[in-house]
Amino acid sequence: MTEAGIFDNDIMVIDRAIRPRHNHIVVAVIDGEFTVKQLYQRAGRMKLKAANPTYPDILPKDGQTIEIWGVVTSTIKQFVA
Amino acid sequence: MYALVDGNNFYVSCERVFRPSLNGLPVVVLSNNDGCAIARSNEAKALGIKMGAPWFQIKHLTESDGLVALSANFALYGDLSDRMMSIAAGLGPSQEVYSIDESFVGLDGVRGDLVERSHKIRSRILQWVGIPCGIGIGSTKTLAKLANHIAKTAERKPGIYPDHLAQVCNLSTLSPEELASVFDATEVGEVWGIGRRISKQLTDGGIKTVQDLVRMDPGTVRRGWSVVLERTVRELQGTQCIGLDDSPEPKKEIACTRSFGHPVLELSGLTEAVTEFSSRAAEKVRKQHSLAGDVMVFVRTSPFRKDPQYSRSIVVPLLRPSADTGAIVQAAVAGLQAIYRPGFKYAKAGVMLLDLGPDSVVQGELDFAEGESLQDAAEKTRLMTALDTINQRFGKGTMKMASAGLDGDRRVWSMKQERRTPAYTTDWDDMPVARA
Repeated sequence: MTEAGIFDNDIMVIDRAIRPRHNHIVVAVIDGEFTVKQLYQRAGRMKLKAANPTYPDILPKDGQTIEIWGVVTSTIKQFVA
Repeated sequence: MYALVDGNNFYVSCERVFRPSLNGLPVVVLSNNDGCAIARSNEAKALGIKMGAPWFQIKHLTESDGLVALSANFALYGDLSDRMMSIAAGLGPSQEVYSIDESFVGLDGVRGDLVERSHKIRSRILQWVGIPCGIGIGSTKTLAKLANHIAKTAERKPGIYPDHLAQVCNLSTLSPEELASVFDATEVGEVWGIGRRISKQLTDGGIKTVQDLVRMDPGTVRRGWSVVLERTVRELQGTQCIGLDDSPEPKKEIACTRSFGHPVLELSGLTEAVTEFSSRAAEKVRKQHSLAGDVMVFVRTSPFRKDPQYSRSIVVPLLRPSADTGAIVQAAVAGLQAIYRPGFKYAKAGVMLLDLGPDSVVQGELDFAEGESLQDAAEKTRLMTALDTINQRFGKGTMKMASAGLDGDRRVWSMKQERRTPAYTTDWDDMPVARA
């Protein structure tokens, strides 16, 4: 998610009380794993976009629901690992 | 009017918040030392796993049915409980946190549709914390508790109760006929305060359902059984007998006891354990602003092993009532040394602080040379405040008595928690990871 300014080992602050909206950076649950993506929600269509264009978008398949776990509100950078 | 907010399969639900891959799988959470199942997911219940089922009896289900067993992670459950309770408090003006996953909320003076309001709070807890819960509403605490049972059962096993009672059930708005049929479908053993023994007595006497019980005359119940059961019947009939307990009395005694992960033979190992238990107990005593007069310590072997058996306890009086970890540990270890016998495989030890009184009352006394003066005692109080502050800020056990020994593998007596998930919400190092 480097294009969104999120790098390896950054600490993300996630707010579950925010209703996810178009263009929010969100943590979603895909196949039981947490993943960070940008939410695309337009004209009744919904998908998860990776900020890195080499990664494919994730679209819900028939009958599948994408679970948005929470909305990323900020990150904390780590300068020393 | 009361509401009871209760997290569904609470420990399992907590685990699922941070491990969504557990959704849909049969999951159990095991008690300390991975002894028996203390929480079950609906899928695990469907496999026929009973509450309290010993781990060794259900272990084979991990192979045959994909059962997932986890060690209890109380740091996580306590933290999520806190979050859930603070949202549940928004339901009404007063709240009694009844257990880690249940709280009563007083609804007096709340206007509007209570069911609609409860659904809102329920979905808020689900969205903000991730815990599904059931909410029961009734004119007494016993009825609220029963309504909660109905709300959960209606969701989990459709068909027994009307569907509209699922998740949130308000008994006070049902018509008399509807209420009677709901009571008719509920066994008497589901009522709050009716244990297995009384439930059997009642059933044998032909009182099988809640409806049978509600029809009884409270006077007859008091004569035939007890005042306690009479109170339950009155509560079911809608007469408030049990109030909201929003500031629980300070405890009369405080205990810290634990079974060991592995049997302990040496006095040194027991000393470590007893030091740790008395430190914990002393911390609890300070938290409720009490002083202890006596320290009881016990050790015992496992009654489930065929080894030689030994079990003994001793009460050591303190020179003067104290909440000082040093004084309490010293007394407990002295007691331990008096009752320890070599050659036994010890399985459990514990420390209990007795004769608790408020720390605001201190008996003045003449300073007879030996022992510490009252001035020293004041210094100790400051030391203990510092100790508690440090441990609260930097984590349990950051600073402790040297006789508690070091953490790690050397500590044979530590609890067996082979399947514990990380402390996701209370430890920076255990934070969950999301991939891009």
